[in-house]
Amino acid sequence: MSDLSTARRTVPLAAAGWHLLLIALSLVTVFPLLWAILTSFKPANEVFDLAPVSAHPTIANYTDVLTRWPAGELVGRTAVMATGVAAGQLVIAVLAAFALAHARRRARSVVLLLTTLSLAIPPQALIVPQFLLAARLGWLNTEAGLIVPQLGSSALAVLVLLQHVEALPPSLTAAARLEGARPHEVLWHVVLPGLRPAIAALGVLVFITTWNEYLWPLLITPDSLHTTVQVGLAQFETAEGINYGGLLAAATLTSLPIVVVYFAASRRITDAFLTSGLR
Amino acid sequence: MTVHGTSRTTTRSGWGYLAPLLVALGLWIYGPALVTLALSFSDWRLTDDPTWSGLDNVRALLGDGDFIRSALQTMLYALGLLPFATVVPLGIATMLWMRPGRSALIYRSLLFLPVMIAPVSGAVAWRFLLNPLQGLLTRMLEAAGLPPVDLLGSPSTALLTIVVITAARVTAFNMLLYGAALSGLDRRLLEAARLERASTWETMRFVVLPQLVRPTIVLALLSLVLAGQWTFTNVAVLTQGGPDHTTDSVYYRIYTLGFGFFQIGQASAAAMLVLVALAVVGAAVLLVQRGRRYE
Amino acid sequence: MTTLTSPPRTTHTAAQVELAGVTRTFGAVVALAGVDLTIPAGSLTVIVGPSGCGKSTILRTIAGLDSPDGGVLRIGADDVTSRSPGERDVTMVFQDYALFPHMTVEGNISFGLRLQARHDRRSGPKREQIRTRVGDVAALLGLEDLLGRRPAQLSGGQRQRVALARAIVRRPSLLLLDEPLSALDPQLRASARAEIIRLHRELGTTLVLVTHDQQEALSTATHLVVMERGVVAQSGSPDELYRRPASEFVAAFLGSPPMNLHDRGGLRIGWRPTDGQLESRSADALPIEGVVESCEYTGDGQHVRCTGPDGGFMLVQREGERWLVPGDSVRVAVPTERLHRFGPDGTRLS
Repeated sequence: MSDLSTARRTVPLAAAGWHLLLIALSLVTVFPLLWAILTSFKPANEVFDLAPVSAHPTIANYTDVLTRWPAGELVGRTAVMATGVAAGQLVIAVLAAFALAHARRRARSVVLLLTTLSLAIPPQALIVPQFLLAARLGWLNTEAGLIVPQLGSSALAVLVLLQHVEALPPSLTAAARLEGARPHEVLWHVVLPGLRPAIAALGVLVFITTWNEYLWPLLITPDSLHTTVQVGLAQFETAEGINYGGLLAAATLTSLPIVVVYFAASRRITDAFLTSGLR
Repeated sequence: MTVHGTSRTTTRSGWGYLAPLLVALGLWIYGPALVTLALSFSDWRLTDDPTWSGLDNVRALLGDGDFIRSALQTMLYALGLLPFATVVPLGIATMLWMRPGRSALIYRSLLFLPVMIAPVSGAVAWRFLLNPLQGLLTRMLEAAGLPPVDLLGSPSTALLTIVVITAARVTAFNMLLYGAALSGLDRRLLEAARLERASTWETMRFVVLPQLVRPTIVLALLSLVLAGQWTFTNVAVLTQGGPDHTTDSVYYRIYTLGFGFFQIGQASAAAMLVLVALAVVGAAVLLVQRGRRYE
Repeated sequence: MTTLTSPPRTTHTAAQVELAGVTRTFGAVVALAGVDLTIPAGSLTVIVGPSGCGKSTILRTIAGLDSPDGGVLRIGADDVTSRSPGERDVTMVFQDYALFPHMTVEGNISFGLRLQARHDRRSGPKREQIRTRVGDVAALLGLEDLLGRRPAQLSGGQRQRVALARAIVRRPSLLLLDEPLSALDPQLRASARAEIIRLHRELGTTLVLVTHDQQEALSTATHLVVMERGVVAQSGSPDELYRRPASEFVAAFLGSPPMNLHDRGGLRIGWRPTDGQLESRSADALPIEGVVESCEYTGDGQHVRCTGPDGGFMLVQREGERWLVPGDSVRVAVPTERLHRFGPDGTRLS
């Protein structure tokens, strides 16, 4: 940290200014979320008060949400979807990345082009046929309907893992082949161990992204009591209008696991992106 | 860059490994894309079978004021989000990179928060804060003696509000990408600059930023293309395209046409038009890039 | 190849390697332009040449990591040109050792055997046999105490020995080494070289080693192959190549300091710096004249750089002689039987 200390010696004022600016930005960013959380602890009649913390903090909103709203079921279903999509995309991506890294130039270029291009197509251009296909397969309101169509978005995972596979020393796969390893053995014994950090990071990333997905679950599981958390939140209204205390409690409850997961895995995610050369 | 020399025995198994990806892409991306293309030339309301209608859908869309308006508004979204996709995250990421340390880590985590919060949760929080009757904003204005504002409900302010709400997430995500680009830079550049007695600002301007020109261009273009996407969830949850269609984007329009009015043909045609527009932009980008190489 | 109850062998079967007309092109670059080569069974063959000569490509082709565009490759009696690398009874030590980072030393060494066991459950090696064989090889290379370590915890020399162990534990009839010494510290190189020669003697298998260092090649090989731009320039015993180089290229490539070359009457004349005799009036010798430009002390003598009417040349002086200094005039006599003559196309003239 030598340059850091020298910089501080020469321009202490600039350092303070830097801190101030970043604190300000952080506050602006965090503020809505913070306010939402604080509000979730307020009783219904104080929800709109200016005071950040209520004089009578309560967890009634939370108990309300947990009892009257199918929070468990929604969270459970969302977790199943997110895990399924993450696992599915990872399997697809590992196999594809391995094949592409060892493929002949032309085949590789074609498949890479198809993969990259798929990222550029806006989902709204595809949802109608996707929905029709899923419905025809009988997947409306099912886990299969939630998971399988989202496996078409594996492109990003493929590209990231491909970079990681190609970053492995080619002599390793050569050595394994010389030892008599067949392709699936090369993949299992040599390539996969080297991909572990990338797979972990990608898994977390895909999990989080899928957890946050709104449009597709909205279409395939429209029943707000048997859908995912995001759709359920968006439709959180009762006959009396929106119970904001409850709504914010629900939003907090369903966001917290993800934030925790993210903080636990943040280092891995940035490392995976770095090695993948996303510059 | 092939890792092996050609080995005929592994080629067959290679395609086997690619099969899951190709099937997934075929069934859920390219198949649907082709179907959308076909449907864009048809008239289908889901009640009977689709009938061929040629370019009627395109004509209808181009004559539809709401659609034209949504297209223009999509471009406004793109322009509005552009600084939040480039300049702002660039500045923050650079600042954090030039002064690493524990505090930088804390700021980075805090500023990254919007990405971790589900878009719906964020939208819901904003709906609460901006509630015209009792939301925090109204209350604060009241306390200051000012009249309440309905940011999301006024045609004049709704779009801008959506831009601002979406901005936090965009900035946070692009901050990560810039951070990744910066981490590839040699820190010795900073030391060399210090030896030349460059100030922090000068270092930033002459040493660091020039290295980030390429990712900036990429991100700028990406934001132009994806802006409409980023705003989708916020529009869907908060304004549903209103008030008076002022927050409508092409993407939301496609959604309403398809799943609101069940005008499948028109929805597909609209999607095709968007794809064509994106392709044109993409081609223009490639041409510009190729031209730049000869400078 | 493996049987259930064979006693540990100290000699392996050694295979002869034959390349006939092998060609390989990478895009616009011709790596191999028609290689015809026979590597004698049981030899320690060194393939040497400047970078880009194709020596690494040859090795990869023999291993099966690269498929030739044309030509035939035979190992032993089999045509293996299109056979996959795992089925050629060939093992290789890579330049970067290619140790599997997530396996222990024992895991690395036993990897091939464990695969064999899995592919051939009936007659493949059993777990006990594998452990014994790994133990034997580890003892042979002094790795007994390192079996539980990971490659990251080993020094460069240790990693090389693990790579060697992995290559010999399967008792191949052909063992390839790609620049095995270039990653080592200069001090380690001599002992590593001696280790390889010792192994060759003990195992008896055919060893093919690729290097760019001609000194290493000369001192290690029992059979030497010099390559130039995708073809074999000459192959034979090191002595043969050194004393009777078939072309100017081979003559100039082998030997340190390199051969002196002059133009004489449309031909190229060559002589080794050690063959020139100072202050000799022999009639049966070629006289070369010159002035000393610089002298390099080498510890046991000095290398003297001179220029003269026939061009520049180098002399080697030993301790005990009167040492030349820059500015001295020099008159060297090269005995006729020590002269090498090359035609305009570079080939040797008798």
